[in-house]
Amino acid sequence: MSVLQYSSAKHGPVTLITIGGSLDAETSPKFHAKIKGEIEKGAKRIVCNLERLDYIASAGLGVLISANDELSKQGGEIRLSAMNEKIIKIFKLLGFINLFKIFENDQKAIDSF
Amino acid sequence: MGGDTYVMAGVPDKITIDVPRVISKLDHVRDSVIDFLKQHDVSEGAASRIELSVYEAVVNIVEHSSHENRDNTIHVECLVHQDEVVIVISHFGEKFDITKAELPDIEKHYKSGKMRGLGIYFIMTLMDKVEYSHVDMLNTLTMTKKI
Repeated sequence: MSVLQYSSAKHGPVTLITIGGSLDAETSPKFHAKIKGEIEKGAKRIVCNLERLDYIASAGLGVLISANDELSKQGGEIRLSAMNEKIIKIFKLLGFINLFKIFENDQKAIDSF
Repeated sequence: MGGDTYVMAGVPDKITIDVPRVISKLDHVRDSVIDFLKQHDVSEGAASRIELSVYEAVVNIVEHSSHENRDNTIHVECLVHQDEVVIVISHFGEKFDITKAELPDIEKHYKSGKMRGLGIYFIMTLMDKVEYSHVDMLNTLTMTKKI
């Protein structure tokens, strides 16, 4: 059974979401529900920390894309931070590295808004 | 893995895994393939591509399985042969040739905000060769990656 760790915290106008474990076909619906909940509560500027993410499948990437699209309609955006080497390689191989705004740490991502 | 859910037999150059068509059971395929590739000293980069492709392929089968095929397992074979890893995934069901599927333009896909439709793109991008056959309702997907 896949495991997803999720936590969120407010940093002024920015919501910092920390994701760990596996973002796959099993856990992505849970992640989708949680990030949708954040957006419904008013989050517009979201930073997703992926430092402890071990695995991302197309379903997980799809949630990030969809949530980012939802936010962009409201003038918001998802930015990614602290991606580990394994996840960076996957993003590069699949051509997503230049589509998301990616920062080396949370503070830089938060300050970028 | 214990219990009756999976049948797994290990030989030095090949593993076979039978997995039910249940999303929550598919991480077992991933774990088994990664463990097997580690035993063969396959580089982390290649192993990661193979792991992801195998997972996307079995997820695709589960998500597109018709009700009458729900109880049929998916058979996965992973073998290391010389300088390549070959994955053969077979299952009974309707024909669906992923090698004929139109691949998305990633930038357009990103801008469209679509949540689904990336699984086949993952496989076709990450593997070196992907072949498909459908004989007597048996779908067979053969994926090859140089190591």
